[in-house]
Amino acid sequence: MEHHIYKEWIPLAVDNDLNDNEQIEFDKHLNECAECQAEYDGQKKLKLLLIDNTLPEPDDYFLFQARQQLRDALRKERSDKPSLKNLLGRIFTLRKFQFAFGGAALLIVGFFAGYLFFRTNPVQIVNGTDTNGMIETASHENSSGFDLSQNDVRITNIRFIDQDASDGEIEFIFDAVKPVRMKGSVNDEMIKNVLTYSMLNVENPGVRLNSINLISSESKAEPDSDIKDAVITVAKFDENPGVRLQAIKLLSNLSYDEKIKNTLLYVLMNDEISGNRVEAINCLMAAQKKGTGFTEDELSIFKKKMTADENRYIRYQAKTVLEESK
Amino acid sequence: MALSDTDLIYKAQAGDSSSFEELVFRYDKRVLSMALKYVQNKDDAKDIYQEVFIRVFKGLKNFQFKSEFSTWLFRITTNVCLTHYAKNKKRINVPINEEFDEEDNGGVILENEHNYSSPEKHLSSNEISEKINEAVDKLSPKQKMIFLMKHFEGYKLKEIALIMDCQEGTVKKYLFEANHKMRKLLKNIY
Repeated sequence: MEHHIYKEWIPLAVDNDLNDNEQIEFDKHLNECAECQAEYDGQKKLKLLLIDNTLPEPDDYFLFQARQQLRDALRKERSDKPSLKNLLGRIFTLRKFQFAFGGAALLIVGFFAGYLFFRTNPVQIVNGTDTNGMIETASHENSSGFDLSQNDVRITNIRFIDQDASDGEIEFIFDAVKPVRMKGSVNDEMIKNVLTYSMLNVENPGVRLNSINLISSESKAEPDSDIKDAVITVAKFDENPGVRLQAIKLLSNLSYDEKIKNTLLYVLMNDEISGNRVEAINCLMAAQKKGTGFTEDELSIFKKKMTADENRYIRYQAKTVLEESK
Repeated sequence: MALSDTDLIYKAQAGDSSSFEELVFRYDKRVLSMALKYVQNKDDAKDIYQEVFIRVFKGLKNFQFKSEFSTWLFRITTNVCLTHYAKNKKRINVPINEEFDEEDNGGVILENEHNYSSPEKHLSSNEISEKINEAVDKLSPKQKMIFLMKHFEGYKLKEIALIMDCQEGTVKKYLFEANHKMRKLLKNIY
């Protein structure tokens, strides 16, 4: 075999990636070729040096910080999309509501068709001026059904189409945003979906906290899986420690399962706020008292906490969990 | 039982944010690790980490399973690392074919080479790691990426070629050059 092929084998030999026959052949060549032997020795030494001196790995706290920032960035990405579209998209993807919303959509289409057919003075755009030349909207409703004279309609994003008033008319488009009031039981599915949305996506932490509190106050024992997943996400990743704590407390009241256990272990491992870690370990201990066990990997988290957590209570409780597990 | 990557991707593509996060957290430590080793700076590593996952977030809806998710993810990671270097480069960018020459270092800046001219056999482990870091930082962007993936992330040559979207022979060439340069730069500490 040619010399250059053996030379190509050197990195493979260093990594023990040659098969048995190739290794025998390679060893034979090394005995006869000083150049390849020197190259092999050099690469082997480098390999050993790198094995003995690994570069620093990101620690848990650094990873936690990076995740916090990522979560903020993702929230921004999500909020950049039209929020009404997101909300409607979320509602319409829920199977339970598809028929109800399908029917409602059909009704709306029917009303709209009837309106187009019977209307006598079609109003597609808001128009009209008073004698002072001011745009006058008080007596008009636009095609979207908003009464623009109402104080709660917010007008934004005005784009002019025709600014030339010489012919007596101008034309423009704007967005009319109107608050929607919902009233009903906390157990109402529609209300729960809006609360879930706000828990995950609203920027104001107070609103997120309120949403969790309202879901917590729900009289039924178990929320559906969408809400549970949202609470898990908040418990792990909300940027506000108080919101995270409230989500952890809510989880502790739900039926304990693998997802909840993993979330609590994650919080115990990664939450920088000791109060949240305390809540997590308390919930885990309560589950253990009810007979839920931990795997070896999970116990290793408690071992780490027993020696390394800055909080004395957590160290003590971690030790208790380990003793109870024997 | 934990969901597979494929299940999580389908759910994430349907808008399930917790599935997306679960998917992210399966791999993000490796992404952060690679970024940290590549840029050797925590703030920059976090920027790269964030950029990678924002790209994943935006691109996931179009992910068509033509490759493993992990391959796609680490391809994005290598691209973001290399782009980061290009944005922040303070050194002269030398084409790969001219980058390394055993005789004259091929124009690569070795301004601290005198640091390696005297035997330093009794360095502590931290000091050696620091020297390795400095030497790695003197590799060209692609050499550095391939060297780190091979020696510190444990990838096989075939996997690196897949991630970097190039021929295995190209990976071998970069790795050969990187190994030689590293040996030269570190010759006094082993």
